[in-house]
Amino acid sequence: MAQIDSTYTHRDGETRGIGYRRWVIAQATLHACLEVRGMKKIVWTCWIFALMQGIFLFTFGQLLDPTSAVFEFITEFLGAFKGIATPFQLLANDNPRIAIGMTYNLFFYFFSGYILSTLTLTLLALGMAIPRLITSDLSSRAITIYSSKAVSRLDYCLGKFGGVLLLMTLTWLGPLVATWLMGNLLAPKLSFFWHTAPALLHSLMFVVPGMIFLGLLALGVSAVSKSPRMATVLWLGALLMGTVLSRIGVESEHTELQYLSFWFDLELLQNWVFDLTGDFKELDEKFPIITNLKLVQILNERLGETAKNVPVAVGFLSLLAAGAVTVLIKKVKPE
Amino acid sequence: MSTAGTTGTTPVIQATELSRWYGIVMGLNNISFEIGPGLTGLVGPNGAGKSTLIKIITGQLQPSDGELTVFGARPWNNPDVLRGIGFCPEEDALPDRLQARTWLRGLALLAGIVPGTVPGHVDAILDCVKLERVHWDKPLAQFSKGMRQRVKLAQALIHNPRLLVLDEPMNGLDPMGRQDIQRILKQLAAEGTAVLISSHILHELEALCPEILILNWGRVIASGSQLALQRRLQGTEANLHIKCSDPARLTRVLFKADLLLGFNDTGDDGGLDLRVKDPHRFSECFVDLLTENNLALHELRSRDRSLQDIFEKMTE
Repeated sequence: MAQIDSTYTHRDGETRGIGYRRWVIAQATLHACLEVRGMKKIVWTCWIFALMQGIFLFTFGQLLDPTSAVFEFITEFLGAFKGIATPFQLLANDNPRIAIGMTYNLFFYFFSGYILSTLTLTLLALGMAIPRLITSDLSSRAITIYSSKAVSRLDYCLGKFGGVLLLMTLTWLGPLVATWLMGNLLAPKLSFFWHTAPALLHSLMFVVPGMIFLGLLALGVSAVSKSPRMATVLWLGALLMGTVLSRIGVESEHTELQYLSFWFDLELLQNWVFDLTGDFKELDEKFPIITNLKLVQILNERLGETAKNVPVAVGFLSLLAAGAVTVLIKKVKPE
Repeated sequence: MSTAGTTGTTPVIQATELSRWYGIVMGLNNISFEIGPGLTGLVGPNGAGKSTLIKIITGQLQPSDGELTVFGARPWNNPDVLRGIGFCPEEDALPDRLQARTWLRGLALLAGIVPGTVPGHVDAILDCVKLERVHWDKPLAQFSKGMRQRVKLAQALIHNPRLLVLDEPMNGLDPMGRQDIQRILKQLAAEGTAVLISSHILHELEALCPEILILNWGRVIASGSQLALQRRLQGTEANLHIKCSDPARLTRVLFKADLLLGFNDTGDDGGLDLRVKDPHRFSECFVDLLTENNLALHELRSRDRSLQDIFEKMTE
């Protein structure tokens, strides 16, 4: 047959590297997710949450400063408030680690992953985004074309994973970091940055692994089926079924059922990372009057029980992540 | 089956004892061949192994045994090789919710083309495949089959591939569309791009591809230029249509020279369909026989010069 001869004049031109092309996939994935109806509203809601939390932290910071306008404004209308705030202001002066650091840690525990938090909205956003991750490429068979381009399956999956992480950055990590920044930038003293850094660190230690886990799980679920509806149903089913089984586990002798809910497992991980029981212990040594409060006792008791089961929860989360990766390996191919 | 050249040239695609099986089913069975620049047709009945071969060439499948190289390297999991390959699949593989231009721009970026040059590049490709501008920003879901074929071809061309692999590229195209695609492919081949076309529309491959690779039951049963394949087949017999001044006399002369296996009178116009024995000797003697017998020749054409005939005979 004919051979390449000396007149062969193909021009390759300048091309970008594989890192850039993965970034292109990530951007396209995020763009596709944001095009889903209602997704932008969820993102906006997450940032409104961040704003509200920021206002809350700003107010908290101002109340610790007896010279602040906010404090003066409140005490002018609510004189009794001064009686509560003043000891706290003294505490902030003498023990900022407790008054500021621990309080922020508690706040960020709730901000980063409680029922009415951006985590809930993130789980909802992922459910809505799942059909646009890999399912749509499988159903349209566009995966055939993508896999023939100069990106390997790994590059494709990394790009998609990057897209999911970007989405979760918009709904979860971003609002949380913004909340911390707002709380500190508007605080009465620069030392707030120092005292509240552990709260941010704990948030990152929980949220970043959480994002990696949820990203893998979402991609795995997205690759299971070519049907967008089926993928969504699978995600919501896993979420609801896990919650129901978890409740049964809590209420019955079969406590192992609790771990079937990845939401529950994430909560255990969060408890361990934020280590509120450690905070309460330290608090108990110095100010037993606070730890004797009924609400604090309930919280402390619950957190203490769950903290010892963290390895099981992490094990189950790892198992789920491994399952998701297996699905990706098996399913992300042309046929 | 290798027809490799000699003097410092490298085939674009080279398969050596290549096999691929699915469980106990053989997709490709120990095949060897080479494909160079220009247009090559890939022909074979259903289940012949065409799709398997295409998937291996485009890096979507790994060979079970043997080796296939494209530009001298294995395409499997090799972005450097895949960067030089454009693939137009047979199936309808377009994301319906996206607009043609948006999707192609994304693919251009995915191919690593410098962002600033992407819009102009994509527009040029869409012009090249003759997709009317009015459709460029419409969702692909609204496209006809022919328009989708053009977009599929455009995506294959988006990164200026050195090897273009097309699986049934003419499906769904109207005659004008087919002409357009043929013209584009010929142009690409003339510029040095290797083009491998798998198609069931054999008469189009015949017009388009000087080189042919015929697969059957997972094996290469013939490869080379159409002309060479025809000559190979003509080693035993050939079918001709002839018009001359005295058909009856011509048949007698040919029988006497032991060159004719049979004939069929096609009507009153002096036409004859002849089955000629030993075509090589026939071509040497024919003119002399006409001259010696004072026969005037009005028309002579081969009846088995079509790719269809080659294909049928090779796959018998």
